[in-house]
Amino acid sequence: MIKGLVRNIVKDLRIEFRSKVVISLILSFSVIVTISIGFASGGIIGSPMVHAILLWVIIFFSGMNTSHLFYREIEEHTALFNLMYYSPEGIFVSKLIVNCIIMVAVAAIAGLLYLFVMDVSVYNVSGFAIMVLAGSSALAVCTTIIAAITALVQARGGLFTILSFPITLPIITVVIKSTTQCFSKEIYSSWSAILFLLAFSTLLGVVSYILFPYIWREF
Amino acid sequence: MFTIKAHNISKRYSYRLFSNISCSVSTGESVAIVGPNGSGKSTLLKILGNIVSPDSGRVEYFDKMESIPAHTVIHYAGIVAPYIQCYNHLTLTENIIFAFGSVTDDAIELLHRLDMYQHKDKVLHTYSTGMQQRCKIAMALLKKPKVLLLDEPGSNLDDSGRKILFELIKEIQPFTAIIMATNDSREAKLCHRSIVLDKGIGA
Repeated sequence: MIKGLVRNIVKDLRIEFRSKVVISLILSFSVIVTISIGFASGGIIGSPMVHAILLWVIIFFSGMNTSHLFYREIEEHTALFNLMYYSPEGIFVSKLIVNCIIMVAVAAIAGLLYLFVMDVSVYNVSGFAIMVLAGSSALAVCTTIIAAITALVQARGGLFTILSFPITLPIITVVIKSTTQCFSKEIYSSWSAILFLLAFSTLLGVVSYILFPYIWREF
Repeated sequence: MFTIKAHNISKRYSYRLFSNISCSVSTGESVAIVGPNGSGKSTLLKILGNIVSPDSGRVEYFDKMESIPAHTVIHYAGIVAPYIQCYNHLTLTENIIFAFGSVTDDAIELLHRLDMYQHKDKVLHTYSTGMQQRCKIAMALLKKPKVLLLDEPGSNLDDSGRKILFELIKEIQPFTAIIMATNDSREAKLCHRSIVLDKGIGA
């Protein structure tokens, strides 16, 4: 399984760097939205909570484009080709890891861009960095299995966002609360939020790992 | 010895495709599924390869006389079909490394035979459909499958491609169970037996 995992990760990253579909979608979305919000607000947003909400809304919708990894396997008829050589579990874990890598990169770029464009002060830099890392990874875990499920249906784009939202809501609530505290002068510990994100993603990841072979058993 | 045994398989979509088909294919045997367009050749092939479930009936798989779970059959199979594609953004070499870990001497020999060696470092989406079909054939055969599922394997191939395909099928026949869905009588003649699908009945 390890060989399949590594080869699938290398393959997905190589295809992504060649086709640049996900990267260009994500970058263009996050840049356009952040700059639009900057112009629309005119720099008058002062509340840390509003900044935190806007930042995570941008990250959430940018991350919705990572679902393309599964859609590409179905659209380009390569899913069965992949299954001929590797187990569904290995394929799922590889997609999960690639999604996490892309999502963390998206969150880092979108976060830095937002801080720069909106001129937001971060009082707890390490807490903010950890929250972006943990939050985006948790979002990736949630959206991976939803992408796998919706990849098999026709109206997948809209359905993916609709199905993802309720599952990612607990994550978004927690990360917004913690990010708000990072943007304000309050002293706080992010451990409880990190533990929640870790527990939530582990639970969902394990359930998804068990369910995935059944989802992809028949096309 | 690998064996596929189908018992009274039926499948319908909005209309009855076929019903009560039973057959058995073992290593060293080859079966052609023939019939007019829309008769269910590809569907029957998918059912035998456990890609699609039948509405009724069952398919059993045996490796060395022991029953194996249906969902593992794909790991024993090499498939050449229009609904399976290699990765188009990778080169043929990268596809082989993805599937097998390295490009072995056997792989180089097969690529030479399929006249693909000189194209091995080109990205697949730059290939013609005939060359892509040759890639699929190469990838399926390099796996050294216990069962080979071929759905219109000669489609998009030129005369030399078909000739090479026929030679390769003959060579692999003694070691593999082969099931081929085809409209081409020359391809069907390569097989030991035929299942003729017509008007929803297998004969």
